[in-house]
Amino acid sequence: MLAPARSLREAGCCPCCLLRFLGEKDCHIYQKSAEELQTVAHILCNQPQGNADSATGDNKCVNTDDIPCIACLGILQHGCSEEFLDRIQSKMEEECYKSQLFSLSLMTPIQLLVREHAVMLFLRERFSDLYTGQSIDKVTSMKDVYKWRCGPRLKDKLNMEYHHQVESPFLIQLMFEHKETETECSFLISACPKVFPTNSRKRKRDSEQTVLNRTSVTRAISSLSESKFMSLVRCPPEKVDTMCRCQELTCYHEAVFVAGRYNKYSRTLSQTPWVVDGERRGETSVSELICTRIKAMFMAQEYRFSSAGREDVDVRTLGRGRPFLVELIQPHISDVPPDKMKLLQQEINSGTTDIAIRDLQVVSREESGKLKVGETEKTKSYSALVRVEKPIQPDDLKFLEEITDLTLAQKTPIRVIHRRPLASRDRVIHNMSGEYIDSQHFRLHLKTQAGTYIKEFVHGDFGRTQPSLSTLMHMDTDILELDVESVDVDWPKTIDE
Amino acid sequence: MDAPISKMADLEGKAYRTVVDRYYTPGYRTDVQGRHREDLCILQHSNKVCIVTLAASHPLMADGKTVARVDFQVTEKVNRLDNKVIGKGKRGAQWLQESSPLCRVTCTDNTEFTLYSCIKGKLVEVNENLINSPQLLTEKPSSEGYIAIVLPKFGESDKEMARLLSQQQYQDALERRGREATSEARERDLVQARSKMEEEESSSSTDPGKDQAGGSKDSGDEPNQKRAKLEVTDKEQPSS
Repeated sequence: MLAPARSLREAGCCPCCLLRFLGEKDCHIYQKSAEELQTVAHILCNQPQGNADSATGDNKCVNTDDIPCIACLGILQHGCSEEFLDRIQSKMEEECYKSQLFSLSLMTPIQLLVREHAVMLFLRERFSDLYTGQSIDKVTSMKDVYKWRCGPRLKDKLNMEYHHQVESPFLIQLMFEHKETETECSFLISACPKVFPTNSRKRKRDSEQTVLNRTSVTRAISSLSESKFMSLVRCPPEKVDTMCRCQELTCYHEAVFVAGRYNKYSRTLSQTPWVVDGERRGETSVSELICTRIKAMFMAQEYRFSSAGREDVDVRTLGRGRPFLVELIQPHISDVPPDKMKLLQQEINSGTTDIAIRDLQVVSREESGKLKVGETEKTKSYSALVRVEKPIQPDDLKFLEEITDLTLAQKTPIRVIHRRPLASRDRVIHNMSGEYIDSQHFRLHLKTQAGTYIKEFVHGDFGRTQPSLSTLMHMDTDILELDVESVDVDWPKTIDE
Repeated sequence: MDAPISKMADLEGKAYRTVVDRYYTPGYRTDVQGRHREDLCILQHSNKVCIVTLAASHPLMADGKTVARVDFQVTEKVNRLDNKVIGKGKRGAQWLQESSPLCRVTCTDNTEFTLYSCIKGKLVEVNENLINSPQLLTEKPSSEGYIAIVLPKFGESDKEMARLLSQQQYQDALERRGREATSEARERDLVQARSKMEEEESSSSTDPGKDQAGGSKDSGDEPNQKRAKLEVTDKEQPSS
């Protein structure tokens, strides 16, 4: 181990990379402090523990943390420093990210692939007995080492849980770049024509950046023979003057889902923002009244509102209300306990009389699939105020109760035909009853299959819904008001009684 | 939370408006394709879709005709029932010009009428119910007896409707038609009566000179009678 260690040190490897290329797999060793690692490196090189900055001593063999490593370009040096980790911590605080768990993702410059390969070939040539047959996989991965070194330390700084290799919904992504060596992969384009076809049309379109990516560079390197590679690249690779820089620090949090049920009491409120010809109609909407405060509580970038079906602007939703789902994109806060959710619900309800929500809760992504099931499979109950053309008596309504499971053929209603395909849909009315009001009005109660157009059933939509209430009663009927009495879906879980 | 109950009084306080009145704007084309009194009404929905319907002033309705058959084979090659539309954009639809025929209507008295589109656009559908129940055309012209649904090009629906007559303009046109018909009829009768008078005068007299004098004396009764006839004719105005 002595000779290779010395050679690596001479070439300009930092202690971590030294250990990596020697095949050290014990994570605890990598978790030592920078000073301790220097000591380890000294020992491996059989060097006396001298001053790191002795100018007279074996200058060639000394690699301090200030000199960028030829293999990791500083990622395992400066990138693991307290200073850098503090930077990550302040970013988290600045953007108020709060999560129970986090995981790390590293994006390293692709020239490292070339450099690592160069170091490997260097070792194979010099120490063939130790390194022949050893593929690059035997070398401990840089990303693993980074996560071993920084994961636990960040855990304490961020006050979040961390477990190596465990997926978490919250990801901290570090993107490193090294401008000085940016062009070190360019030679591959001409050296490996099979991997980079010189189809001129493609070449002109794609810049070097897009053609050279992790996959293509890996393929190119493996396509070159050892001798060919060594003729093109200096092995070991050249020393550099600058450290790798973290060009981008981004956080990604998986979407968080919030569900509940809403009642709508207004007849002049649209479900989602209503825009016609670029102009906004109406001051607000159901989705905005519900989601604005939820988005604020979770500090999300965006929200997506969906519900188990929809009602028109002029239709109320009564009873236990309609199930809805809010998808929160890039939430900064993901952990909101039930009592806080309850407060949020109260806040939303006290802010308006047009809607009211209940059973507000966080749900998992899998659970959220249940919403659409509700839309297409379950039944809904309605109450409609009907006006009839000819005078009626209470007895005239009795026949409605005798009708069960009536199948309607509904052509796409004219009011939506401009934006839906023309088709005929069969829908079932399970049962009905009529509540007499006066000789010209009655209230129709009905329970129908999901997706039934109620207004069209009542007035017949130019005869395009057959049968319709008009045809059943042999007179013109019109609908003056419509209310949704219930949406028969058992989701989300009932919280409020 | 208990939802507030709507009061019937509130609802009927505003005058009741039918589905058509609530959601559709009418536009009229009178004397379609230059054919006298053949009037159609295009109902434009607030979403810009147009429904072609019969106007009440069309002979089919105004003359109380009974429809026997509605035929959608409008030319040798074109049958409106073959119209197939795909997707939201209604791809594959038959394209209609103002002069495109939609159907041919045959009545029980063997009179025939062709009904035209009056607007440009894609044919979404014709009313297939008219095949089995042709009488709907005159019995329920503004609902179950509609003729066709047309979708003008995006953004062009208002332009198409602007080329038609508004409700007021249509009413004015009908009034004009009524007056013209009345004055035409009056003139016709006047001409008739005058020529009859001249006939009778020439046949009853032998002395032209005496005639003139006699004419004025002898026809003491006759002018009165004739005047009475004219008056009667005046009152019997043909309705339009």
